[in-house]
Amino acid sequence: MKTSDRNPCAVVYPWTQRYFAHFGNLYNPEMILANPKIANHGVVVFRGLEMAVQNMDNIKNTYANLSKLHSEKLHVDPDNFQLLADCITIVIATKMRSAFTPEKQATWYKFLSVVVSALSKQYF
Amino acid sequence: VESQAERSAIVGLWEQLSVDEIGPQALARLLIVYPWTQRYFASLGDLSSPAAIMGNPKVATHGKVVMGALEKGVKNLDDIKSTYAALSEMHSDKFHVDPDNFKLLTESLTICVAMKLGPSVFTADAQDAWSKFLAVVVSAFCEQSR
Repeated sequence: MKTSDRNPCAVVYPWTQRYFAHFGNLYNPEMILANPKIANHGVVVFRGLEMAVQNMDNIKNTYANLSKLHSEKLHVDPDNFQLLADCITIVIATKMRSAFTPEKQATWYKFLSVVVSALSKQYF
Repeated sequence: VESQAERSAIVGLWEQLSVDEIGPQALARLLIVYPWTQRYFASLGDLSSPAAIMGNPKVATHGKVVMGALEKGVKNLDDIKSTYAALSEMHSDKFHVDPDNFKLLTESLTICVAMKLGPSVFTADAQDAWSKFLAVVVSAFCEQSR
């Protein structure tokens, strides 16, 4: 699951590709889905998310450096964090199907909201 | 404006869904995951817990109404704006719905669709076409809010 979640984001929200120009061929959905750099980076992102899962009491500090990196070095528009969060949720729902109950969706949404907020923190 | 391939994808996806099944699920998820939206549905009765929401027959009925309205969009892909002009006015002038909430409903709906169809059917391309369709619907609904 971890490698494929980035693919919908780059496909469905194509303007996000501007942040990944160095990943090579993002020319069409097929290329994006097959691109190994995208796949590897999907794992990197998920490992980043895992840090929050393991530090749920202190997500803000956990992401202080990552937030600075995304704002000062990568210049990512923070609106895009929510797009990726939405894509991750859809991939999880697709994978888990009926196991992704409404209660789980609610809890997951709360968690991702905190993550998105923490990543946006250093922008302001 | 969707391409012919995207339109076929949307119609193809829709054919695999049941209005009566997905509508209630999507509305229930909206009310559970984004509980502030319950303020618009006081007339639906008991929304006091996820179990209450999921068991509430009025929620189920209204979910079907919402999906039925979405079906009109699927059947009128060329003219979604006019299709939803009256509904859009109703949601803004009569119900005073914050237009940000339309996107939350489409998120919930997309999750229900993804769960139903699974990864082999709800591919990245399918999600792309589906989300474009919903974005046009949401835009049509926001039209009268301005």
